[in-house]
Amino acid sequence: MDSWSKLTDSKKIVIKVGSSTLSYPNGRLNYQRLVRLAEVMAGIQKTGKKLILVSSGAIAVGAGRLGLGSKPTDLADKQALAAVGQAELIRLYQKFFGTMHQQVAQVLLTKDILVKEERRFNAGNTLNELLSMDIIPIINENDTVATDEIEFGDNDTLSAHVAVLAEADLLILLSDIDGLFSADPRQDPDALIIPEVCEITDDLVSSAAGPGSGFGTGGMATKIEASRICSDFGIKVVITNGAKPEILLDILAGKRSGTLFSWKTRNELHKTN
Amino acid sequence: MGMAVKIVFKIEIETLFDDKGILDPAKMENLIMICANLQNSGVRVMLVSSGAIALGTRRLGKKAPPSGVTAKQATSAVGQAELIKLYQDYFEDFDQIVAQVLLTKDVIENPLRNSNAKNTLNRLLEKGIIPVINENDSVSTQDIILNDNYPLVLIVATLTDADAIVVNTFGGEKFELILRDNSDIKVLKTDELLDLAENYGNGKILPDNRIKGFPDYLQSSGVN
Repeated sequence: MDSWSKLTDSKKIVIKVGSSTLSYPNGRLNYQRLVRLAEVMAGIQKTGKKLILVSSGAIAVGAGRLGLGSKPTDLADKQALAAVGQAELIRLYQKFFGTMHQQVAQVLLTKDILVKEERRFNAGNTLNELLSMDIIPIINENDTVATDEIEFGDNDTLSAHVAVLAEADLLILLSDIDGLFSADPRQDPDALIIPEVCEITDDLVSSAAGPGSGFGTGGMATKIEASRICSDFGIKVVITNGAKPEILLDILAGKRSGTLFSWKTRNELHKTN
Repeated sequence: MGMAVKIVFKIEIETLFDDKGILDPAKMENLIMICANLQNSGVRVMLVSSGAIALGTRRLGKKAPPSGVTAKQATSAVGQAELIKLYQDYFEDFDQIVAQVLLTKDVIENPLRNSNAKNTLNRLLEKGIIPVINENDSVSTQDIILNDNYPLVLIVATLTDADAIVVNTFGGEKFELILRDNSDIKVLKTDELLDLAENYGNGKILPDNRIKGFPDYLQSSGVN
């Protein structure tokens, strides 16, 4: 039994979807992809698994709503667009999940859930209560009070903290890259996807952070960091391409689909200790 | 633009319900039209709106809101999504763009949160976007426990240096206007409120009161 096939047992799964997956290169929203994501996730939820969605895309949606051509660079503009866009984004998710008769809720978090006991307690309670009610929480950073990109970065690390908070078994990072490559696929035609990583070594960290790497626009460094956070809690992580949200079904069927960061689960850790 | 009059509306969604506890579309539309009208006159309007738990309760098909704090937080996370959709839909008819801003009490004490919230709100106002504000119930429980968003109204008024607070009462047919210097509380009918905007819109709706801002209300509501 390989590590991928063990993923069929995952009960509680955090799925993170990046802006690059939800929007076209011009920054405008790809509605069809949002629809497919909602359909696939609602289908999985119906099998009894508990899903949490961490979704970026508020700024892209806000720019579309206000008819702006490109993404703003000014922080206050970004925050204003995020406030407009988050309202629109959650409306779209409600609509698309609603078609599948799946209830959703909006949860906006800031980094102080990591350090403030009361916030952490409240956020954890809210998430677990929603899961017990069979509602899919849709999470984003609360950009209006957080300094965008200074706190949780691009939501990769936020999704890892959410996985820890919700005591998830698995975190799936959907982006525009197929997985972690052995070399930069743009430079090296022989670059291969690494199917499994069991340990985050210094080499891995430096190769992901090094110049000319990144291996796509997804930003591998924050994904490695997300995996590192999860490793301490035995939460497995998959990095895969979100262009076809059906890939979630493959992953949960135990089919190799990208890169799996696999370590001993919480229970296995307890046994060895 | 820096001189535009800023008004914070305190909206209790329950006052817009009919006797069956369902939102009365006519009352809601009336209120939204007034806000859009003020906005068009040049006043910058902000809404602090309750209703996430009430709408979440309905959405989940429950008769009464839950009693426990955690269940209320979860219901609010469902209902806040509904609430912002409601405002988007109604304001759309009057060609207004809304934004969702969820705050926690620490915007007062935490300097970074304070400046972020202030910048976001002011940038939205500059762009002519109407912020719809609520407490971020998922991580904060103050208003859930207080069952009142008045502290939040005062926080928003303070952050944006607002000129007045308007409380909708009597199903949105009359309004309580609270001036910044706390010198006067007037109960106005819709027409009177709009007249005020018409007479003073694009300029100053209210005398230039250089006072710290709603001091008695801050005290009486227990903020700080």
